[in-house]
Amino acid sequence: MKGLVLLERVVLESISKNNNNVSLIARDVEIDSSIVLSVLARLTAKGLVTYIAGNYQIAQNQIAWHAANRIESVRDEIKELNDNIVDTCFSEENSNIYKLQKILLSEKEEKILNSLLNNVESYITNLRNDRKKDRKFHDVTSKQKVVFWGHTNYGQVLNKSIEKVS
Amino acid sequence: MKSEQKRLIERFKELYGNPTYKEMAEITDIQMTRAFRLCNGFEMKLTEYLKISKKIDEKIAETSTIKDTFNTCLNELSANALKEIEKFCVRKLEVKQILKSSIIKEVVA
Repeated sequence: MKGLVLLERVVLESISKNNNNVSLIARDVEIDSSIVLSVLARLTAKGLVTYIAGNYQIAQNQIAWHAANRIESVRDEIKELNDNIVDTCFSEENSNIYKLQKILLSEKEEKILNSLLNNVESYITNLRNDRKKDRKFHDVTSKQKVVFWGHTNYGQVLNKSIEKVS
Repeated sequence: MKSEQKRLIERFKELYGNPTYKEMAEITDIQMTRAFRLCNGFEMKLTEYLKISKKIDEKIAETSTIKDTFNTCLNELSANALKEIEKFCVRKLEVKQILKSSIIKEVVA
């Protein structure tokens, strides 16, 4: 498979934050270092990571990145992420939030909803930009929140469900 | 240890939750000392292979109807739907492969 699984993506995210050895990455993503090592071996084989002078770095390999970031690969990655988000949010012992509502919206109401969602996006983008400027801010990958939003037409979802099996 | 024998024992242990040699003997009806030897590389007899295989099949059958479901999927679903299931399974296997490799690396280290 040329795409990435979640474990590979999170290790890449960690390396991009200058965590460049196994123990730093393991601490950042809160995954056992033996698993991180195994993931790093795969990423190196895929040409996405280089190991130079004891440091792991993101490789500038356009062909490998193109394969990993194809729309189909990213879609499969998001499916894996969503699948695990739903299972996490529906497990008993947590305080995670997963909200889903179905409602008929007028054109005006949909505009208002989109505006509110744009506000959410702006808020997150601003936070991200502020933190890029703040050199003291220590970003720990495993402590990040996974936030998602959006909406679609119920009929389209149903048609997709039928289309997939017919 | 021959790879096929090793694979069989690993699968057995996985399905039965890493049983002790005593438990393994009780489940398979193979003597405990013999079970110990088999797990440590002694060559398996055909009868022992068949006993362990049978227990593996029984466990899979009692815990899951997955084989039947897969066969029904193969007969009933469209190529697109099968592709989606395949992708889902491949991703699960990829993660499993990462975890298996990490155990091997730990042992080597």
